[in-house]
Amino acid sequence: MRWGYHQAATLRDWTIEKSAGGYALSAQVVNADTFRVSQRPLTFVAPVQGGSWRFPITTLQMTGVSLSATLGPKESV
Amino acid sequence: MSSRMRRPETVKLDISRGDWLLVKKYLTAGEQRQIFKHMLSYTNDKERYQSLEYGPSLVAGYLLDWSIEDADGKAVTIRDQPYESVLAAIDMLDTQSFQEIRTAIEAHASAMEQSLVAEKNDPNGEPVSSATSPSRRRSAGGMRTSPISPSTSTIS
Repeated sequence: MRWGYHQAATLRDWTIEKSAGGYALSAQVVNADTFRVSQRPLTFVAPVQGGSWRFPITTLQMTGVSLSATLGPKESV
Repeated sequence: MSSRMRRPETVKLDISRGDWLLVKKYLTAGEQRQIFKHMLSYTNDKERYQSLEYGPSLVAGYLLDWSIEDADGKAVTIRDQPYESVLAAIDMLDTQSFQEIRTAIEAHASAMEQSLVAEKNDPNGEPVSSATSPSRRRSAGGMRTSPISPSTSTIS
């Protein structure tokens, strides 16, 4: 998860599901930078072969190590 | 009250052969320290700065993405990669290309430093008078100074 080019949090075991408002992200937080996570806008960056997928984060909830968020459309490279 | 923390902005720098670099517009205090931290080595419990590491460390500190391809025409991905991976990619450049990239980033860093100085003087471009300096009486026909304009850059 990034704020601009800054790493805001590292996530694992993430899943993305299509939802009515876009996409729903669920993940476990490995570590997070409190200040950067509080900034906006945030982007979810998923590494894929040959590069990465980037989604704008529209809403975010973090409870302990659990994270849920809604994502906007995948950004074009 | 002014903010002392900047949003993470980027700048695109064009280099030769149609290539480009995407770099951080400004470094934070922590990012500047990281550049020097990566130059440190420890020998017999003594701290030493390896000056040869300054160039690669500076480039890796600013660089976010680029259009560089390998000998097979395949993109060399550095975006969102760990610092060490970016440094490894930089180390694989031919010497002229590394020098060109380093020069471009150093010029960018210098330009941004100058813009910060200009901004510090006054956001409107007028030098701010010291609180302790007496105000001057204006005389007829006195000299007018032109405002300081911060350097401009392309924001991507």
